[in-house]
Amino acid sequence: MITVLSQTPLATVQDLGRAGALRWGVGTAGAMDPMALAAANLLVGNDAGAAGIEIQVFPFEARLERDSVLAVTGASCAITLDGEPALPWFSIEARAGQVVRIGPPQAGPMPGARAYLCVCGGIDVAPVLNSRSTQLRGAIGGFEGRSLRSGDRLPLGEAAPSIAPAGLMPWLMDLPLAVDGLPAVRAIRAAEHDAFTDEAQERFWASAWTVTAQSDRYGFRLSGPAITPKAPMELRSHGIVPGVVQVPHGGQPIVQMRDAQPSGGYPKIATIIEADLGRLGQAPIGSRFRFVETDWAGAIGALDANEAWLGKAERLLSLHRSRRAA
Amino acid sequence: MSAPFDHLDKITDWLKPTDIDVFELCGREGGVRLSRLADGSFERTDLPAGFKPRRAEGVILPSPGVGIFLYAHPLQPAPPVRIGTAVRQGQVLGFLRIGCC
Repeated sequence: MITVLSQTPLATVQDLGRAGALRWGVGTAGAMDPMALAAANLLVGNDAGAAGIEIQVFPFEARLERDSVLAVTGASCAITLDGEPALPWFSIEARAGQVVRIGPPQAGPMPGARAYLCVCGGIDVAPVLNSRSTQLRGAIGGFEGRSLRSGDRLPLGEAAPSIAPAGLMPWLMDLPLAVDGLPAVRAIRAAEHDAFTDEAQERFWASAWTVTAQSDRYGFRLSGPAITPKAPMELRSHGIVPGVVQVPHGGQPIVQMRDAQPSGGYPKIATIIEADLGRLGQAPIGSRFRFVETDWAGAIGALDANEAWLGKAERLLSLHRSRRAA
Repeated sequence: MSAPFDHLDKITDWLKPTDIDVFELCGREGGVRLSRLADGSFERTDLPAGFKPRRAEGVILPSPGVGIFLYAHPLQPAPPVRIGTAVRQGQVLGFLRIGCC
């Protein structure tokens, strides 16, 4: 059991998402930075897809009610265990009764917006449609279908409370992607890409975009040069997925994120590839980034690279632990 | 001008936001050691006259494996300890990066 102590809004239980449910009109939800969540799980000996806590408002505090191993990944935060500093992206042994505190993201080589707290055994809430992720729009999954509150007691799965300590390099440092000094995400052209003017298309791919304050798990509203269509477009609502970049009448794009609704009617200029959506998920409000055009093969290759990174991390951790146990 | 021992509360306040865990101050009449506790406060220990600060003795720590030694965590520019820092058993001193390309 882990007890939430802080009254921190918008912290939710998340796993890797409710894949395959869009056909029923149910959004995917899941961690905004799934690679960071998976890494935290590996650090504590869980399967990569176990449920953890996504934190996007700080500080967050929780008390471990049993001896545990925990890890905090994602944004580089100041972490303490009973007031003693602890390392990000490392497995941390904690005793029953100890309090973990996760402070705001710090300046450094890897700016970030969201942290992931995983505990050995995983957050053992009941799966809904094969996922433990909180889907706030439908109020399903996670802990009572809502964000966490002070006093919530989250059940943990069975696990060994001791594990050889180890750390991982943040995946965004191992697999960096930047253009002109700005973080970048790869995207493929979407159905209405060519319905925008040539100048608008060029501006979309060549400009720096700012993540505005009107951004959350549902979608990121961007600020930059106006993206204008060749002619006014009226589309019927149709299926959309996380990563779709819509352009409403104002010409300022909206990126659909993990809590995106399953349908929408705005014209789409691009879709951020699945492998890179987590990069944007870590973009702080006010930060700038670039789009980089790729194609289907590039999207699959990037996904393969992410999976290879996780596979290598799992192998190295397993090797390290087997050597320490010998 | 007042002696530093008259201002230990102030010195303790200055130490709290730093990464200094142990602070020793010596004078003609003796000395004082301020040691950080788990809750962040500092414990005072009086030191006898003629006290000499402890000198570090060289200890060789063998690497547990093959890798690249890092003075600091990749996300934290400051190293966990500096040369001359008094360290506790089990404290992280550096990092060994393994399996990197």
